[in-house]
Amino acid sequence: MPVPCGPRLSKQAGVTYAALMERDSEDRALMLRYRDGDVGAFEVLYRRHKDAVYRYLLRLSRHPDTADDLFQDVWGKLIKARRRYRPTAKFATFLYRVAHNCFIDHVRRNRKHARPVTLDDDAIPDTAEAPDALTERALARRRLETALLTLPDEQRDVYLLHEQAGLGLDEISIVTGCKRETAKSRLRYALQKLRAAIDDATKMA
Amino acid sequence: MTDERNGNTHEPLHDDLVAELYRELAQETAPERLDAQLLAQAASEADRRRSGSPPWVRPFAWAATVGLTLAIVLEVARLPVPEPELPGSPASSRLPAAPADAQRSDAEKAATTELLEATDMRSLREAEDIARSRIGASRETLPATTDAGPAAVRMQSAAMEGCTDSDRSTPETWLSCIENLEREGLAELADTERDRLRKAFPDHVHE
Repeated sequence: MPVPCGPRLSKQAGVTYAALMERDSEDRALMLRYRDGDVGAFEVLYRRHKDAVYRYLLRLSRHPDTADDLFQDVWGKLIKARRRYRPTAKFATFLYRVAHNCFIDHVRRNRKHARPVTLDDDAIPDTAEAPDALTERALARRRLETALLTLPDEQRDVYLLHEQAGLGLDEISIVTGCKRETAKSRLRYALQKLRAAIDDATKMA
Repeated sequence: MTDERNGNTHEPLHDDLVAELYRELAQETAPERLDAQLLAQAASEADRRRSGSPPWVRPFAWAATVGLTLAIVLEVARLPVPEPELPGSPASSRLPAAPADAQRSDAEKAATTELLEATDMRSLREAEDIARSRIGASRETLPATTDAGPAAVRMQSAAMEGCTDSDRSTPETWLSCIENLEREGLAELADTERDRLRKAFPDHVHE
């Protein structure tokens, strides 16, 4: 995939960035270019990842307003941290680690006001379809959404990092700060619960 | 239901149906109003970075600070440590004015150099002994100096003056001063003072 080059890149810097891109590190190269002042590189990076990050935060926080705040916080931190950025890991790992930490900080700040999530919670999305008009597939989607929102935070976090961010277990363990086996166990439980919810929907239909 | 694979880059656990339904479900996009805001913030930060100091300034400043601190510490370490006044030695306020370097004898210069090179008390003692012998040899021509170390100044001052007028006011204080000079190893000067004591107080019984 071609990556647009910034006009301010010197020949030597261009060679360095090209070498990085050859090693399947387009994101890292873009971030390095932004670190060196190329705003265009940041825009490419932002548009590439913004929706996935937003969905991750939306399902993790279970509230659109909170997701908006966290989304701004994540990218704001990324912008401010660009000078310290070192391409030692996958850019996605770096990005979702920032996002994960923002969410953890948010939970800690709002612990006193935390409410347990129930099936009647406002955060659970309301589908446009009437119950009797729900097809089997739509019912399964709705059950999945509900099951996802009622998963324990740690399991939901791991599942979203796996499914939404596309991270492997090693990367998830880096992002969440837990051991690989712990991440694997959480993912397995999350998948079992989600699958059970879908199966129930299928039986009901 | 689940498919576990090896390797770090592959998904070790997977459920096709769950993944498929999740993809259908997760269609939300980030609010567009945030796009403009964040991109403007990114541009603003990049501009600030460009208008800031060059990248080499910070390491250079650190290196300069460390170098300067090291130089100050070494300079302070080289300064002579003030020593307590030796008993019987004249106070530094009684030092005569220093003559020019050109008037110094070679013996005095050598003594001063050795005293300055003495770093501990033991070597200082040895240097004092050597200097004392040299100063004793050319005492008549020795002027005082003020740019030598404190020990050298004290010794040269004693060599020049011996006892003070207040020491010489009574036989007892004069004798005490002479004893101090002897303890300091200034035997020649002590003898001179003792001769003067005998002349000044012929009736006094000298030990």
